[in-house]
Amino acid sequence: MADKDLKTKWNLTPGGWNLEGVPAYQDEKRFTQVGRSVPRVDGPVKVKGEAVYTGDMILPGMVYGKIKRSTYAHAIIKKIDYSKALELPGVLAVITGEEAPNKWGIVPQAANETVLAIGKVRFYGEGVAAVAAVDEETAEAALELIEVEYEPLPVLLDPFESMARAGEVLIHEDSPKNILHEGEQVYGDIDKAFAECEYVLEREFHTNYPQHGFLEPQTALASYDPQSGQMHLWASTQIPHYLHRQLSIVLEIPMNKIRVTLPAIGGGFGGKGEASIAEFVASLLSRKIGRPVSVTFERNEVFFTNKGRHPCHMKVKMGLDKEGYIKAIDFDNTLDKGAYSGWGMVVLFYTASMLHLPYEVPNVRFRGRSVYTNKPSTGAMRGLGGVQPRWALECIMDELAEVMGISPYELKMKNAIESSHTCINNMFVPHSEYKKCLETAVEKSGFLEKHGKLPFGKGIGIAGGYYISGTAYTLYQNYKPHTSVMIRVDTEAGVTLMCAAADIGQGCNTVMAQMVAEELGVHYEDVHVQSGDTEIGAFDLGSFASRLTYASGAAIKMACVEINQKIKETAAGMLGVRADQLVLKNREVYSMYETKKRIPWEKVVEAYTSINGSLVGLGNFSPPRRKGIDIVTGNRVQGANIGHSPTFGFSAQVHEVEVDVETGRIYVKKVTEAGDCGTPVNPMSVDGQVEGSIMFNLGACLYEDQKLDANGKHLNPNFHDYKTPTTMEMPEMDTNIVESYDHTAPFGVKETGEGAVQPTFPAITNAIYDAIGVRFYNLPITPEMVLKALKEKKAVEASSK
Amino acid sequence: MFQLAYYEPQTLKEALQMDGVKKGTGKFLAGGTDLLVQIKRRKIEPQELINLKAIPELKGVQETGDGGIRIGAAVTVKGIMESSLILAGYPAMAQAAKELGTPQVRNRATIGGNIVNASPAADLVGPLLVYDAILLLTSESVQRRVKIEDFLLGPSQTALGKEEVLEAIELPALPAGTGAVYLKHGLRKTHEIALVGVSIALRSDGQGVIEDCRIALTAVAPKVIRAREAEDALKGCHLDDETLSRVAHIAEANCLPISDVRASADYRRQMVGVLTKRGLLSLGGSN
Ligand SMILES: Cc1cc2nc3c(=O)[nH]c(=O)nc-3n(C[C@H](O)[C@H](O)[C@H](O)COP(=O)(O)OP(=O)(O)OC[C@H]3O[C@@H](n4cnc5c(N)ncnc54)[C@H](O)[C@@H]3O)c2cc1C
Repeated sequence: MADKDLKTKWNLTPGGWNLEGVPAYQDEKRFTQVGRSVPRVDGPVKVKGEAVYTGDMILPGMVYGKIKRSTYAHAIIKKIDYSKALELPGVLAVITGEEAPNKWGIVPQAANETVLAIGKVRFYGEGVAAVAAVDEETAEAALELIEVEYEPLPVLLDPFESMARAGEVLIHEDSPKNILHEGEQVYGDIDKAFAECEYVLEREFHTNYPQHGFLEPQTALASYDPQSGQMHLWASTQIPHYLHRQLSIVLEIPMNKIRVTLPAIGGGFGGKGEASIAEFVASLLSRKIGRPVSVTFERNEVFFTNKGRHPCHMKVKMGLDKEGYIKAIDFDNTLDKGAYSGWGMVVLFYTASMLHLPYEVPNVRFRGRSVYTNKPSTGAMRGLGGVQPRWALECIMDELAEVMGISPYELKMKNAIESSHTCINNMFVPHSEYKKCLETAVEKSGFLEKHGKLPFGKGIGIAGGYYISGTAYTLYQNYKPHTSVMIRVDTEAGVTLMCAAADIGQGCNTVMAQMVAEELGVHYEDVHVQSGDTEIGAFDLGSFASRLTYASGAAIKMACVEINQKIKETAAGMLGVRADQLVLKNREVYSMYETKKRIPWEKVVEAYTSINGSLVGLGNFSPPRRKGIDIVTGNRVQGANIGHSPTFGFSAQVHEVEVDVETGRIYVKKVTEAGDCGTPVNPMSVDGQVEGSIMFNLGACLYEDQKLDANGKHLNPNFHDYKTPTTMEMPEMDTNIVESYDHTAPFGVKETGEGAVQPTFPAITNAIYDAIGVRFYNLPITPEMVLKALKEKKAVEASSK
Repeated sequence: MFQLAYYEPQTLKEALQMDGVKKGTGKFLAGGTDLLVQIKRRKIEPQELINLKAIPELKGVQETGDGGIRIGAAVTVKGIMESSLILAGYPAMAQAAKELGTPQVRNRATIGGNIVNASPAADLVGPLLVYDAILLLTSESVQRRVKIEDFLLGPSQTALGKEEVLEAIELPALPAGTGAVYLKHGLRKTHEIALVGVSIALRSDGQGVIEDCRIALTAVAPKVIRAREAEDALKGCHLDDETLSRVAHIAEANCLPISDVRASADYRRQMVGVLTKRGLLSLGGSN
């Protein structure tokens, strides 16, 4: 590569954006492929039922693995006798925890889970042994022959009880208070600020215990080759890399001897954002017997292993000055961690960082603790760490607006942040159209004309929210780029993008194809995407933190610089013009000054490759890393790096509800949403993500809750009793993409899959208040709660008459 | 390990002569939407499955000649929902069918299975009670007619003899002017097992005085029950506000709901009142 090329290639803005050599009159936003509503690349095979999921795969010699699960939520394992199981014809192997004692966990500082329980079980349904057998029936029969002797321990299901009884019962011996982690973050002078406030409200909020409800249960197929010592794992995961890493730790095999491949994946929503026992068990059994082993969870096992959203018990105090500007937030959060740490520490501090946006807050105090209980572990779930505090804050603001006698819309507009905003914890927001989101949602729904004016039983509510786009830090100490991609161009395969991104159904393969096409000047239909493979693809951290569109986009842009330079140089010779005056668009290469000088892009590729062979470009993305400090004092604050991100997406929602005051049922009739997702790479996909986001949290707000009995046993570990809303519950939706372009981001993009879940809880809760005059501080808001509250309200009204 | 033999008899006679029927070790399979779930959960372990799908006597909805209709036990829930005879004459049946499960379930599930499974939450049973359905039970040697109310004994318990099959359901002709309704209450609009169901058949004279009334309550007792005291309280009355709330209260007192993961007994009881009132109101205009 010439010196000049190198300079152009590496001279990038933080977003991977190359500003050099772009003539002023050429509008960088005039896209042809980005911004197209194209169908998903994986759409047709899925619709026809031809997509191959891990559970569809059958390898020669493949056998089946099943997991024996604990019938106690907290107990010492006295003895496991599997001799009878081994004698059953067709059983090939049985393993217990001792065979893989290394601890795993996505946050390495706190990793404390073993593949199968060793010595003690900490939640009902925890794996205690696993069997490989020639078919599933035999494996199931073998499980029943395994005898486990337990000595029950007291079961702690409530985090407050867990802390109170820590002197008597410990869930983890190394956590003396039954607390995974506790922390405090203080910015500014909170007491002084509250003393100066005109309006101060303090409330307690309690969220529920929902789960993702993805359709495809965790599934893994492992094939170990004893000859080469190579492990190949096909798995339904969001995080091929973190899984890869943890497999290496648990199996004690170097990463370069393990390959993780993702077949089609039926959803994750965060639930597959941690390794699954299915993956470890399949791998361990395969290594033990030298045959491929397939493990697919039953639906109840998905519930048993959970990793859903943390129930949060939040005490919130907010203060406004006379004009209604937010002066201070004091926030205390107790998170229910369940049995093992997982994402816990990260979630704890996300709930802290979420206090700083989308409003300007000059004084903030956070105190929080993530507490172990004998429940299936909580983990990452769409909108991680944001949903619970957002609900509390947007509800308390609704109350404060009422106290002030102004519209909640006015209060939000007054406090909403704008572009180039630095929060008190040093989080930097390069770009925000949040105010435009609020305006659009209010205008299109007629909020101001309806709020407070609808007949009893009907109500309208508003709330806003945001989410990170991309992430600033890896979960273990490391400075390598978060994403690497490789693009190959030649006449045989056309354009191929090779990466390790995980398309879990969110559609990243489609938007990546669009971004490659845009950058190379071809059509999205011309691009092949090879993703989700740690061997074929280059490095990628995984699908979480709404990072892929941003991170892949930046890496793709960088990879294309080199390819485009060579295409231009080749075409320049063919056309007799200067290379730096060439434009690549719509499968053509042409001079920007003499537009008659043009040649099909494919011809140029042919000319180049016939002399030099395939064209290959590499690209990386490393996010900017800002330290979490108190910007007034400059002091470091523990856990405050968490929540920083290259950019942020925003959403505002207006929900209209009808409450049946006799049955207590709540019907969400209409949702008007406006979102700032930067450039919508695929507007149709954005609509899908936003509608999906709203339904996702409409479910957790009104229907979904995992219930346990006093012994910690699941009462509703199936889709019959764990109610998710169906399409029949889907309200009319008016989703709007506001005009937005973040100049620091590749193609101007931001997230859209998690910001739009944030306003749903509070918008519904506020709408219910508008309808029946009752504020709810517990989720989900069930018909029984509505009837009870109405009865109490009536009693209060009667007694005050 | 668990093994199952599977048979597909072509005639009713053949089915009733099967070993599994004689020995009581087999189970009739209709849509399988209850049976297969129970087998999978190991609630039952039959040795033979005898599929009823090919048997002609169990199919179709026909007029009986005396103004009533005969529904073959293997008619699917979707078939009930779309039968013109049922839609015209017994609309509460069609309503209940429409509310049962999901499209996939309705395509497979049968009316016979819904009755014989004897769940207290079975959607089709309430309307069958208020329409006074008669069940045609057939064994190799005898055929008998039993009122649905006498057939249902408790949860999963019926008067079906060991060697009997439910062949058909007969709905008698209704006196002119009878209106009927089925209201189902759950937490969501579809794919829901009833928290409470209320079926009402009502006939009033030209002046709006109620002459006859039948009310059945679903999912609030060990089996679907008739609310006889509520029915009696209605006879001779107008559907005014006072009557509505009085009858709703009596209906609430008539049931014995349980508390479970889906709802509390109190809530279910309260919904019996609400649904009874709403059902009666919706029939208020018909005479
Ligand atoms: C997802 C799902 C949702 C559901 N939702 C609902 C709902 O909303 N409301 C509701 O009421 N039910 C619901 N059900 C239960 C079930 O679908 C119904 O009860 C259905 O009508 C059963 O009919 P089937 O033909 O599938 O019966 P099967 O499962 O085939 O049989 C049920 C029982 O009846 C016996 N049997 C069947 N036919 C005869 C016959 N002709 N003579 C003698 N014995 C017979 C069988 O031996 C078996 O014991 C649901 C089930 C599922 C899986």
